[in-house]
Amino acid sequence: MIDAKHYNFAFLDEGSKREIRRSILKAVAIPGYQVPFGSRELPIGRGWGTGGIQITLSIIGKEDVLKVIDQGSDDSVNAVNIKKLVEECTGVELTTDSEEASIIQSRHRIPEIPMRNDQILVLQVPTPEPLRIVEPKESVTKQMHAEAEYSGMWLSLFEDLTRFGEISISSEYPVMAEGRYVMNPSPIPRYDNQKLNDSDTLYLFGAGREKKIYAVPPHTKIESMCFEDVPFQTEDFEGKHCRLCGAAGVYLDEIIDEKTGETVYECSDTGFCQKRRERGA
Amino acid sequence: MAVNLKLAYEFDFVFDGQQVFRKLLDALSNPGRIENIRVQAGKFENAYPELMALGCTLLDNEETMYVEKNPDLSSELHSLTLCHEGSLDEADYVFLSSEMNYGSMEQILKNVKHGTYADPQLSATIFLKCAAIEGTEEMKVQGPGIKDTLWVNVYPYIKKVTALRDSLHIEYPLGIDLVFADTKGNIMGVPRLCRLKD
Repeated sequence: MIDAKHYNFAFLDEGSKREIRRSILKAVAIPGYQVPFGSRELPIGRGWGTGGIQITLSIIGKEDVLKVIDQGSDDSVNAVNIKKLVEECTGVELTTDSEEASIIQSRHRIPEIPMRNDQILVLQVPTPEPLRIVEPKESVTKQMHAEAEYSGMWLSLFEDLTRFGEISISSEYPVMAEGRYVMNPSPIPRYDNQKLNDSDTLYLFGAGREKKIYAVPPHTKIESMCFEDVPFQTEDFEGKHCRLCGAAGVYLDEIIDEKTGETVYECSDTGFCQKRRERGA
Repeated sequence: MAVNLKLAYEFDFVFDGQQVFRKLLDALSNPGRIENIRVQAGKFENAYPELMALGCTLLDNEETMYVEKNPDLSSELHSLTLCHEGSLDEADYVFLSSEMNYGSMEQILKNVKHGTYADPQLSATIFLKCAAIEGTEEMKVQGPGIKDTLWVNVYPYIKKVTALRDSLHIEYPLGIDLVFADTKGNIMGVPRLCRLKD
């Protein structure tokens, strides 16, 4: 752990933590609404998970067990660096087992094993504003949310549908939170959208560059936006399985085997895959 | 000659503040659930340790508070957090250190900040001290944080205040978030979307 004389516990000063904590509580009270906050400087560039890190640093305590994943992987550069930073300035225990963790910080995935009510998932968000694709001005999108004026969003989905024959959004698929706010679920795949609905766990979303925090409390109604005659569809992994652990019915990464040129699949959630293999061994 | 100085309080703003915040986060994420902050609140030696612990967790000089008819609590909160006291209609955090009658409570709920449609987070959070959280009054609530419907037995004051807030029909996303605290260190959150059901 770094010198406690020079750095506060969890790196951020207490004033910063308090502001972030106040924003988190408001975000929990208004599911899907983006609460503005004063995003702080960190020893990591904005756009590399600073929103998620600020939330994690503001909520974490000495008793917590932390897991950090990036695109499902415990070992990618972003996840390893964030883990190192938090461990250095808090001394908390780290894990790759999502069932052991009390806080999981993630970029682009929700773990395969359903999370419990005593856990918190912190998601890093690059572009929190779902309406940005239809309106570039922040002042206008803020007013659109105020008036629940989402016709532009619906039109965007319809145009996508008429152009491609299906809604082609692969990640950041917009959802409606508690029937009121259109929300960007962060760049998780469509497969993970359903995990947000009526979940047992609390989801906190942090966008450091865009200075926004939002939340989905447990058991909140989260609906992926779609049309009555065009139901929401997730990625289809029918007939495919992980080449390492054999898991089917999970989110898989497609990989080209360099030697054979064959297309193979592996679990995107490496902690889940590793645990399955250990149990099977 | 060394003089043993007695600390005015033992509350650690870093670690106790973090623990109180997590309990508060759990309470507001899971409305109707009772969390306990007795250990942290016990580090204040005054008549309102629970409100002090909650205040010292969230307040600083960027926020405005309103403390109803309790200059001692107001003074102590200001001394420890530098939070300024403002009028009821501009306060971010409202502290009610005793149980209010129906008329007073109605006036408070009507006059606190409800937020705006563009900035619903600019609304008040009210901390209410009551004799107990658990009680004989059955309260049926629904909303985010609750699986289907929750029946919880609460102290009658909690149900009365919640019913009174609901009766104002403040249109979501505007609203008031309530946090009840009792003398045993129990806290219970009733955020704006957590509403009573018949």
